[in-house]
Amino acid sequence: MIVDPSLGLYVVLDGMGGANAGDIASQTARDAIAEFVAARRTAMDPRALLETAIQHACATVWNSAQTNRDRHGMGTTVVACLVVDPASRGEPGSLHAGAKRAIIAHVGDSRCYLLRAGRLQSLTRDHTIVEELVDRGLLSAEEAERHPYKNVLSRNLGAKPETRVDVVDLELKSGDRLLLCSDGLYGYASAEAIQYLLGSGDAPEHVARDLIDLALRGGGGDNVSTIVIETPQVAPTSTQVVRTHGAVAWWQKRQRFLQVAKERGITRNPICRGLSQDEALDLVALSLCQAIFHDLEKSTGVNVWTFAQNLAGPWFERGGEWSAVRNLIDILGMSARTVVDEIRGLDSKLGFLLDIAVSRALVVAELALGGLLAERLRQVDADLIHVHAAIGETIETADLPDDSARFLDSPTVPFLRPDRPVTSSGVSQEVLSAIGKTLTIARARTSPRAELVKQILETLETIATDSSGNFAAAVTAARELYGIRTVDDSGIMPIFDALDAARIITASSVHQISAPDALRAKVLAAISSAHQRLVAAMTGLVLEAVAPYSERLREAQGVTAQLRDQVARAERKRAELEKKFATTIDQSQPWEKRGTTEW
Amino acid sequence: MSTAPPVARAYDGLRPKILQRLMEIRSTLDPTLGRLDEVTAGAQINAVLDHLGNYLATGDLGLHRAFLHTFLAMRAAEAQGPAAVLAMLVAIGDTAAQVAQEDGAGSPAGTELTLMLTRVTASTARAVNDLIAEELERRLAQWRELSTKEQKGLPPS
Amino acid sequence: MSDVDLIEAVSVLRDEVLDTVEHGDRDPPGAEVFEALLRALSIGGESVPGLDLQLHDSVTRRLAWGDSEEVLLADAEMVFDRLMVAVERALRDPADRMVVIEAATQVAVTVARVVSLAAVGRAARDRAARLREELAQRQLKEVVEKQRASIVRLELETGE
Repeated sequence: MIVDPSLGLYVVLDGMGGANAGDIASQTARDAIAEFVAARRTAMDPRALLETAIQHACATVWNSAQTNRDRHGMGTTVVACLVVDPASRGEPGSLHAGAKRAIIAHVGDSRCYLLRAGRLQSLTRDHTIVEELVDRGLLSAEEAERHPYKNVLSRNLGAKPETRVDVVDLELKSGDRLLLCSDGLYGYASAEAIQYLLGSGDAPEHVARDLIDLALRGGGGDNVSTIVIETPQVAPTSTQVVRTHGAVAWWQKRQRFLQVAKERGITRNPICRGLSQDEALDLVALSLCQAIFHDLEKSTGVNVWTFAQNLAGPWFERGGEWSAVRNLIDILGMSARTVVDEIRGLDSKLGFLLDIAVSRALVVAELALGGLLAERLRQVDADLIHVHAAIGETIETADLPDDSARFLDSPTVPFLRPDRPVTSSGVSQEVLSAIGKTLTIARARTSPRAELVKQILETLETIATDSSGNFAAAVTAARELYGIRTVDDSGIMPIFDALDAARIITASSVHQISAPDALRAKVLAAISSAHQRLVAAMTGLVLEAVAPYSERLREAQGVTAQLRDQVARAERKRAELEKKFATTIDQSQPWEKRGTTEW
Repeated sequence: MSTAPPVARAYDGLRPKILQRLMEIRSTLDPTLGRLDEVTAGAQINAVLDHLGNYLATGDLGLHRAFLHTFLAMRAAEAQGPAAVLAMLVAIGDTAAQVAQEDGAGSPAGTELTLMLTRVTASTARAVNDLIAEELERRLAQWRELSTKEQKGLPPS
Repeated sequence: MSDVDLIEAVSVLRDEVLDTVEHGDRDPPGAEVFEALLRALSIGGESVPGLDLQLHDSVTRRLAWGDSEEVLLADAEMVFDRLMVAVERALRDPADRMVVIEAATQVAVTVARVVSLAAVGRAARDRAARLREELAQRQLKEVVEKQRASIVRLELETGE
């Protein structure tokens, strides 16, 4: 990372590559950027300065990788922010000096977020292959969201000597906060949680630390980098009123809050089982009261968010029901409304503002709970898929592909067609004879238990000596070897392990025949070509075996699309009727007594 | 509790500003919305705003839940999880309330509309959570049934 | 020929073996196989996890770009066949030819393994995705029922 307020330079990097090559890549890039910007900060236009610094870092990392075999393939992502004070004619400066412009440049999937008016938005788009395909119109946004390879990068520093850098020029407003982070943060923390923490009003360095803790709690490793940059804020009057008078008025009513909560039966809620009355009031009701107080003080939602997560998280993990949480929140919500109504009785304007703020707090609580419920749903879905796979059953009793089915005479994968022509240079009698000798030696050297390897060695001879010029011999041999297998790692890998063992033993056996090197080279070439055909045919069979899964998925997607159309048509009709109904409703009734709750 | 007609009318009057604000920040509501063209994104957001307006006028929780049930199921079929849908709906409600607060500038009508929109958002969030919980119960029941079959080594149906 | 010289001699064959026409941000088809061959020459003849890992990354990138496993397989076959011809022509010493052929066969088996694993992974994902589709269909069918009831009610309420 780089955090240099004097330069106005903030950079997050995330290295990749085997062993410690990733760290070397990110450090190399970091040093290159820092040096470049420091040397040229007054000499170049800020936008050009940042972009060129990153290009320079890319070349530096690439050069380092070329000169050292251990670093081959290393690279790093980068997201950088250069803060500019227009009043100083492009002089980089800290935000506290009144800077109003930020230049953000990035390569890869490290991100820059902007928090403005309480909403979090990403200023960068990840440089992934999937995003590039969406930009070119080759994938829809929907397909991109569920693409299995959506995290594969299309750009980084170090893969090539130069790269394309995306640059955004941003005019900053009062109260803005910028967050630079690696995927170690956003991969393990929800956008809502990031939004609330970033908007907490705490000092940037504390917020950065809290974000890292959030990622760690979400299961992330130690590879989390975050930088938070803020501009000073002048809050609107109503917000200031709530922060000062509203918060105080709320806190002064805490005993009333606890009293109402107790009267409404909070201590009898299943979540409070095992706690004494005082403990229940203290640990649950008072905790929420305090959380609301702190959130009112700082115009944030982070404390209520955390309260709801801490309350319901362990409860759901133990298999607790939603109804208990729902009931508890209802009790606390009614207690809060009672307090707010009483405050409004004394000060109508303050009461209204507090009503809005406390209602918002309850929305935040529901949002946090919804996140937990959705996560639980996701886990149950994963378990459901797992148990389905285990018993090979589907909900609607559709037939699954029969793993014991014989292969089709007309293969579904064109590559596998027996009559497909293959390159064949023909072999002389001398070479044919030497092939036989080589494979005889190889078979003799193979352990009696390695039956599959022996079979492979026999088929190699058949394929190597085949003169048809097509793929048939390889396909036939592959089918014999493939037999009946499950379409998973444990079914497929033994075959490829055996093919590799056959390769090794064949290569060494060639050196054992009495022949000049030139003949041995021809023998090896012939056997290797046969080997290549065989492994290709084997892979073709695997592709054929998995083809029905894709087909059945496409069929299911077709059915879903039809249902969606049906639902969309009915929804349009329903919406028209609802609009009409809205004009006929009896407006004399209080809002919550109109209509019905049934549906 | 106040009656809604002035509030519903105030909401209708504010609709264009609310829509404009939501269109400006649509990529923060949902990444997919950010990628759609303006017309399509606007139509999707408008559908939600239309329904919110009806709900403000009718107070009919049954119809509100019906709308949300459909909305969740359609988004699930597009591989959008319920947490993201919940966040989007809350963000729409929050933004509408924010616009109302800014526009109302402390006036009683403005404050009332802001409060109503905030409560509607809370009601929406609660209804969505109820629906998620119901779906969770159904899938848990399904999982228990299949787990039993697996343990008994029953053949595929 | 020394190891370093041999790797250099094979590197020079790149244009002959691959279709090195401009592919924009993408490498030419089969490039990942050729790069894997150069790595295999520098590692030696034994199977090494590092070879699998980098080849896995390259194959994943090709699949992410939208190429099918079948296309990858065909490209690997093309590279192997062209390499055999090029090596026969370019390397005079049979011992050198044998070293390259052994490495090429190692890469061929590794590519096949990686592509097969990718296909098996795809099958598992497709199976899971199909189940999710069925779950979504069930939800949509419930919605259809609720919508019917809603519409009936609203038609009554509005006198339609």
